[in-house]
Amino acid sequence: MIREWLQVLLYIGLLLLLVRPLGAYMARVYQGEPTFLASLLKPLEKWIYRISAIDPQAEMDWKAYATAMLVFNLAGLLALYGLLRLQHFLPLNPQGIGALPADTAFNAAASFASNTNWQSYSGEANLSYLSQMLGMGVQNFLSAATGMAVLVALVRGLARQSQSKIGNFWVDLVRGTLYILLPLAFILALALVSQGVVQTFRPYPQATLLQALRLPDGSLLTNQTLAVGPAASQVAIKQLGTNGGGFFNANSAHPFENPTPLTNFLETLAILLIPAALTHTFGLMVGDVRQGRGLLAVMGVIFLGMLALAVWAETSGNPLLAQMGVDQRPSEGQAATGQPAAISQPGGNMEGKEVRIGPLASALWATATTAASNGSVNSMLDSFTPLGGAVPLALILFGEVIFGGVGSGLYGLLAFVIVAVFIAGLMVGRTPEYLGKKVEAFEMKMASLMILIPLALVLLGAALAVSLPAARSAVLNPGPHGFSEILYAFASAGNNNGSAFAGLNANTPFYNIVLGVVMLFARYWLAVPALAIAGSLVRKKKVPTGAGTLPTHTPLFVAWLIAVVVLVGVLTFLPALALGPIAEQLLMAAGGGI
Amino acid sequence: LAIVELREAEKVDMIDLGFLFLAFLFFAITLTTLELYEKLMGK
Repeated sequence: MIREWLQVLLYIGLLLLLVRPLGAYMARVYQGEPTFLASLLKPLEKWIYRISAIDPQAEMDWKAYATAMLVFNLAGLLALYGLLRLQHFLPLNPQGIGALPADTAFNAAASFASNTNWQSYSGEANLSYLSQMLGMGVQNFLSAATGMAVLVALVRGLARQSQSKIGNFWVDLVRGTLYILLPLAFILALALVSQGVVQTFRPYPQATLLQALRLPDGSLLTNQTLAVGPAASQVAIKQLGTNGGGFFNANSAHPFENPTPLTNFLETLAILLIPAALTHTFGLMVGDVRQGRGLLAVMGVIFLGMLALAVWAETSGNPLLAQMGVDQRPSEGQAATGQPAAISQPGGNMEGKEVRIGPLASALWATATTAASNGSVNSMLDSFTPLGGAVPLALILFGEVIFGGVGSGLYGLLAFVIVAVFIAGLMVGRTPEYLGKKVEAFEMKMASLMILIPLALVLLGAALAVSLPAARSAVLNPGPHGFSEILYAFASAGNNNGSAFAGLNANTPFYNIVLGVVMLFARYWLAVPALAIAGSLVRKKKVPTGAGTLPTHTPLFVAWLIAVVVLVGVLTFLPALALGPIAEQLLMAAGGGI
Repeated sequence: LAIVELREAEKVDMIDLGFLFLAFLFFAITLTTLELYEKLMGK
């Protein structure tokens, strides 16, 4: 257990250590400054502009920027849909996998275009290698680069004054992909391959079982088909781009996606790496790194609090099992005394967890993957204790602003910042300002939309599902746990997270269509108001700092922003949480069943 | 060619057109919000 805690400390330390260099590098990329990769990538960048007829010097106003973003994402969605429907006619399909059903293909296309990566299909059973790479893999890069582009446009709106242009979407997209995502993904993919993550175009091999299995009809099963494929390259970007969609159905609990403690550590680190570093990029681009540190502190405080709760819940074990005499205490094994190593156990609640990963690293991953809008899993969240499962649910319900998606998390948090300075301004009777820009009615309307739209999507969607028999019949558990499964599905889609609680058969026309539409609203109906705020702020002059200016980098403002995020974000969902995980936890503590 | 083959195999039907229409409709509505926000923004 001490080693596992050291891993958590190493994780946080390394993450904080990487924030400054990566954040500074990304600021250079988005400000068009030369980087150490320029000699290698500049010719490719220029070539892309030339064949795409893009003038990199031509900047856009917010409407042109938003239009380019929307049209590009629509094209990506349609291309992915077509690919998934036509994959059986296309190459790199050694298993001869057929077309994805239409509703599943729509859901998957909406999911990957919107950086959600909710999966109602099984990768190894339903997708060809071409679909995995050209479809899901490419969208992993482009949807992440889109989120980062929207963020930097908003940051330019804050940093510039008396202008109308907020950058060029195509340039931000290309530079984000070429200079940030591709190099990081390349390095991580190589590291993953070195650890045994599969990367091959060969058909699925047959393995002979060490012990034959007798089937119910009496026949003997002696072989097993091992699903393989070009996984490492996709796993790398799925973590770095806060996408999270697994190459295999079991996601990062699968030994071919996450085979060793080192891959587990690197993948967990990759989940939060870019969202954390973007806070420093933000600080540099607005000319005050203290602002970025303040936002990182907000994210960090909430993250650590939720991590502590999840770790406590999962390492404490299940009290119902304890009553039955099941030993859930950690034991280090007795190999030195000749005892078999099998008696060694990590302890805690091990249902739905990999023995090699254990409850602490599972809780760390679950917290990171839902703090960021990543959604990959290395354990099954449905099997967490009610409070342990409430942590990922609550982190999603914060609106994916505690790190959040690459780009989208920070522009979501900036919407909360606008609300926070507005409320603070009301308290002292001054026109609220942020970074020298007056926050007025329009910014408040847009920020309110960005906060209210996910709330409405989650609550209305869950209400619709529990009121329809066809939707209720997809739930595999009765009572509060079943409600949690439905709420989690809509929370995940309505905040572009993409993780699944499991226990819900979501591959039905109802869930595929409704969740698909919810994911689109959650992504684009937040990105457009964010760009509108950029368009409004960029026109304004900066107001000189005065004695009455509210400083937005101090511990006081950090605490205030945390309070606003918690009050506005999560407490809205308290009644829904009371019907699900809170009721279930109380039932479990009382020794009752669910 | 693949689309023609799929059409002949009667795998492409109205449901595909329905989903494509849904996607276009969503993005068309979203694009109209740009004008709405611009008006809200004022000068």
